Amino acid sequence: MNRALFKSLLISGVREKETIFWIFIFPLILFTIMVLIFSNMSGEDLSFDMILIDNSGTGLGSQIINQVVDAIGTPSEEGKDPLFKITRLSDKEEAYTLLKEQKADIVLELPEDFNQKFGQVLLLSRLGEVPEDRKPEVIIQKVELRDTSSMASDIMTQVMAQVNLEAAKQMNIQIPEVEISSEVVGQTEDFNYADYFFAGVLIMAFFSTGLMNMGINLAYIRSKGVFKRFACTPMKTSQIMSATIFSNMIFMGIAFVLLLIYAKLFYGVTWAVFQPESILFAVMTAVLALTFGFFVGTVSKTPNSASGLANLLFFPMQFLGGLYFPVFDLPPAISWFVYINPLTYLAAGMRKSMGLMDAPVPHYTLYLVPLLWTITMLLISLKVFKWDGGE
Amino acid sequence: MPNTILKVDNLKKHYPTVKAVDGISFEISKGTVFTLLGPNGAGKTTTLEIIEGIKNSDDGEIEFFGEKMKHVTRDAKERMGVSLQSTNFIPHLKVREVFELFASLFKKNLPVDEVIGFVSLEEKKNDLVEKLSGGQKQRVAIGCALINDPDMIFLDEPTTGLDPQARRNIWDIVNHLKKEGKTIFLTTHYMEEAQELSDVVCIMDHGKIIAMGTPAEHIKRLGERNYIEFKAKLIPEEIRELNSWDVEEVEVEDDNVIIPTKELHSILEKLLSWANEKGMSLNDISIRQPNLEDVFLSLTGRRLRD
Repeated sequence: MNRALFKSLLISGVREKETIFWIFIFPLILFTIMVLIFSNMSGEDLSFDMILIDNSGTGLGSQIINQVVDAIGTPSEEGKDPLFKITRLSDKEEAYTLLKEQKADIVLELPEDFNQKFGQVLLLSRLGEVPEDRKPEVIIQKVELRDTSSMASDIMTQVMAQVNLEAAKQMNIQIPEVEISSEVVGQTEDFNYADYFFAGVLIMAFFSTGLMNMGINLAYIRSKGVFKRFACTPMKTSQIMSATIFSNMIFMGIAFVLLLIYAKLFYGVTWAVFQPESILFAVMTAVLALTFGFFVGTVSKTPNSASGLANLLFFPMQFLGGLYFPVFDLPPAISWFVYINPLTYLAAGMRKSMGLMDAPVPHYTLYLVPLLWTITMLLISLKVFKWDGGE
Repeated sequence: MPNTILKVDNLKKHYPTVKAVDGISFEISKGTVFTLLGPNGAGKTTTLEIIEGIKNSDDGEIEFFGEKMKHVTRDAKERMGVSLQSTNFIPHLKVREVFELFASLFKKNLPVDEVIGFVSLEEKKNDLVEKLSGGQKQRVAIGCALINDPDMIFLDEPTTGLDPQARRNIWDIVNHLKKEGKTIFLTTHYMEEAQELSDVVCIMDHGKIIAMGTPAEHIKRLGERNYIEFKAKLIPEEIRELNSWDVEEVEVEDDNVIIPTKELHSILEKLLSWANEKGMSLNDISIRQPNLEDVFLSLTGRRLRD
């Protein structure tokens, strides 16, 4: 490797504002966005705003409901939000307005005749079947197209089923107790979204450097005759390529360190990425990204065509490669791409090695598919590469 | 030829649709400025790029510093300096950084500051190359070609696209190098440049060498003639009339008229009285000596700029 060329390429990259943003800053922004969005949907800090309109007066029915509502409105641990933040109102119109304005997720309403019907049911149920129109009714209002509203509504429906069981107990009706246990499948008990996205964003950052930065820069300096100029010197092709590759690997290293420090300080990622197998997957990602960059820089005649090709490859690869969300269950029309996409295997492999989740593909494919892509892209690029050409 | 530094024998480079270089041979002596002159597409740059080691030839042989080679070796590249037709470097580097980079590529190199001084870029050495003017960038390119103190310097159209002052600055550098005894291989499509700088001019067209010699030898081949030039709107009948005099073929392009003749005094007198009779005004009338442009015209029937 020619050290002066290596240094020049590093200096050139550092002075390029776009390089700084896309390789060093953007991964931090993307990581933040992803963790903030998905962590809030993980249930750990999940909280809904519910308005309770209780026009039923006093009675056993409303007493049970209020006890349940108080229970779900109490934080499970000190310092955490409760599952439902309860606001009690008597004005329906005001409650519906707050729901429409997204200041509440659902409205739970106990009608005026709730306690009366509840009492009747207690008596009638001992005599036999209770007619439908005599059953007490709880009204849940939600906004259909809002995810949080639908989720809150589903949870409350389950809660109400629990209330029914409680009511049955109050009536001394024997109901066999069903014990419910849950088990995490695929995803480990230690799963956390910060680690999950750390792996995805790291792969994205490596591909931003290798595929986008190196690919477009190679096309640029080749189309401008810079390589041609080097060809007139005693420098060997291998020296130029090694300097190009190592300078981009330095950028990847910086991107990795910055992301790790940021993710550790602000989101508490674990050190799982330093598992030997995780490091191996990171290195494989770096090598694959560089071969893709070499390919883009080789087959493109101009920086513009390189940029177009790099984007054409990178966007579907990252979004259908499981970097940000699971992709193995996608419809067959696009799942073929998921299965040929090397990033799918690198992301799954890295997360598996970090102890985050199992990969639903044979273990050897996690290495084999990226390796086949690396070899293929490298061979094509070496075959097509020319010093001159372009503009 | 004694002191031959470069010998090219039957060099060929054929593409599917064009014979870019079609069996050319020449020799360059140490300490001379050898110029390849020809219109765009004549094959000058392809010839140069084969000799510089960028392209491979289809056939032919190159003898560099007494050593025969099919393709230019790394040792030969250590002894040559190159300035390509289009000047670009790794982006966002400063002038000094570019020179330092090129200095690192050769076993032998001159002090960077000395080269920066030689191409008069002391004040710009800490500026980014992309911020420089076209002429300054060209001086960076020439400086990079000199950084290894080469025995032979290749300058491919070093003044194309430059303003007259910047062009004159480059000529000064070339003349300075010539005084230092450097061997220079120049390509250009500017006949004034070839005439001003060259010891030997090789005229190339359609991939072949059509004439070679010193500028004076080329011009001498045209014989003793002068050119009367003026601007006037002539009708075909008037052009036929002029051609019936003791002149070479009259050249008319728009309202520019050129009359080549060996009988300057008589033809000039005749022209003035002919114009007077016709009540015609001859604008911007001038008389000049033949130049390489005229040589090229007489050899190919076309002007260099065509």
